[in-house]
Amino acid sequence: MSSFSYMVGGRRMRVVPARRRDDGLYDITVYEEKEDGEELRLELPGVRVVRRGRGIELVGAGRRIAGLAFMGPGGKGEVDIAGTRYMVTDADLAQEEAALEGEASPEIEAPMPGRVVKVLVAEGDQVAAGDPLLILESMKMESEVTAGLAGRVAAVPVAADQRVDPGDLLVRIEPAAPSPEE
Amino acid sequence: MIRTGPIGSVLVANRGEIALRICRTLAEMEIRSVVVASDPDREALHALSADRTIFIGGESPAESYLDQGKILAAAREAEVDAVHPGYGFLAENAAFARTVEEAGLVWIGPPAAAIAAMGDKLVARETMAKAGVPVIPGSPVLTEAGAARREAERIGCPLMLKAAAGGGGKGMRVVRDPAELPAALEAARRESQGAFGSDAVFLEKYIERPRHIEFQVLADSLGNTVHLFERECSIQRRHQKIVEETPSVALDGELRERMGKAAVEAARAAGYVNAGTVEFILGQDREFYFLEMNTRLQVEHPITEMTCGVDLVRSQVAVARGEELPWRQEEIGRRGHAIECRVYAEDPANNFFPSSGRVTALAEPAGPGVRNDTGIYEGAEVSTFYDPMLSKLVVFGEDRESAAARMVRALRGYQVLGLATTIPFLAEVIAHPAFLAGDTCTDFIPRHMEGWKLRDEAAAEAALLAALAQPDTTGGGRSAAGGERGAAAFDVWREVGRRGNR
Repeated sequence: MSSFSYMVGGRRMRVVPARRRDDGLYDITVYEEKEDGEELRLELPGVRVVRRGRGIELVGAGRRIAGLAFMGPGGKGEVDIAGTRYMVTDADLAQEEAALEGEASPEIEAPMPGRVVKVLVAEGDQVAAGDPLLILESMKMESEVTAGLAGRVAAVPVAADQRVDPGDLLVRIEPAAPSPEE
Repeated sequence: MIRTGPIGSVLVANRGEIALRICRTLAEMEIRSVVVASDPDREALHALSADRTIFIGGESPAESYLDQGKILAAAREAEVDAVHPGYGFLAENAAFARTVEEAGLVWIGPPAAAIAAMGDKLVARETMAKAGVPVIPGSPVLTEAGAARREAERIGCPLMLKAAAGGGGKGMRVVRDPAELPAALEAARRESQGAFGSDAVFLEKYIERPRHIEFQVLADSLGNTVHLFERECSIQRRHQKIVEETPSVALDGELRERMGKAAVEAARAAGYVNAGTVEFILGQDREFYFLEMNTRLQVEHPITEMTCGVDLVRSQVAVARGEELPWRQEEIGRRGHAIECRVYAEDPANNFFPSSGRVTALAEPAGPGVRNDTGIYEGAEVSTFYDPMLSKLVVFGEDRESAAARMVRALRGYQVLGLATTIPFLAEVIAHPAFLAGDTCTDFIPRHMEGWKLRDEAAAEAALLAALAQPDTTGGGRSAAGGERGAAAFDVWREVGRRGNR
């Protein structure tokens, strides 16, 4: 039977829907896929689906599930249920992305537009994972940008007061050689 | 003296929810509203809602809402009678208030002299001490580490470093150990310089586990001053208020009366006219101290409006017209309980990092006793140029318990896609046993919400709704439902149904 699998907050969920021919209601089951097998999370026999704009409501089976949902064509989207927003990614796409990502990046980029308040490291400095590298200001809030891995600071192409855009390189770290015991 | 006069049109020199909130009252008073809008705000809600919008260009606040020349030129172009500054931006800029009056316009706010006096925290302290309003022990302005160390020894730890020109938590640092002082001093001065253009900071005795209690005051130009009771704003994150309520559970009738009298004394000592707020800090020992006076309409003013049954913007305009306050102190009553939550575009799952982008979907809370003062709409762009507050959700209830229940209900009905918001965090603050018990001190967030994580209990439901919203990527041009919204997803599901158990 066809189903839809998504990654939701690090958990893998499989949705198995079936639309009834006679009354147009749906029979829906949702499983959580774990390494040691599937666990039943939701069972909704004979529910009605109502749409209002981006709002979707499922009524029946003694339950009411309602929220806003928006899925992009690429397999990524967002769902908000009761004020909590979930990022949802098609499971196949998530797997591809995970394969590409690997470990923490040695290139630290600006996460959003802002201004560099202060640079806390210089080329040649040794840093540990979690060490503050610089202070960024965005939307009137100051926040620390930290190192994702340990190593030597290879480049700091930004200076205090500089404006940065998302994706701009802030600091490049030359990763420390793995210690002998590893 | 403050200039008063007839008001038939007002320039609102602000943006977002507060500009819109002011325009709404102006419309009710049949006063023509004019707003200004920067480049990123060309399609912002306030720019779409006023009687007239003047585009002043610029992106950053300095190039737009803080540019006094542009704002005055807009006021001249629109030939308004008065200027309302809202809060933030130019609201507490004494020079701007003076310039507005010199241009022959009415300033809907306090006299420039009162703004200047209360804007300088040291002058404010001295003014209050002279008027007999209790103040916290503190130091003069500190310029070098040596003097800071001597003052720190005199007052004793714990201490608070504060920006002399500051507000809103900028440039503030707690010092628990004398050894932390040099680094804290440097950080506070840097932040103060960046935020206010002045690195003047000072030290104050730090009151452990205090509550933040403020009183709304209102004074007319004829010498009458009243207060409209307190607001408790103890729930703060990074020294920024996020939840406010009234009444405060910490005050009884006797303490409320004493603090109210002190607030009125404070306003009189400042030569105050129009709406303002006197902030106090209240210790565990029920001693209270003057903190500062906010010489403007406060962000959290709606909770006072809900419980006192007044419209503070309407009162502000009446005072600016030279009218007398319609009530004496003893005629001001209130009922019920009101709570406000400030909803920010910040990601609670990612260390409250600011979030920006387009609001792709929006469901706003409604129903009995719910007021959402918002600056966004579905399709609006939230930029990184301005404060990340999206809206103020305010509820009224017969008592504190029902107001809290209503707030949780409203937050759960408030859904935003496209941006991360603090909504789920706020819902857990309000539902927290410590909040419900009234144990609301300024350390509430670090004490009770440390290590807070987004719950994913509805992950299965989220996957289900995602599947229902999944656009049809199988293609083929089938259009059984004839262009109906969501038709594509229905097609996929029909297909599934055919291949399924029947």
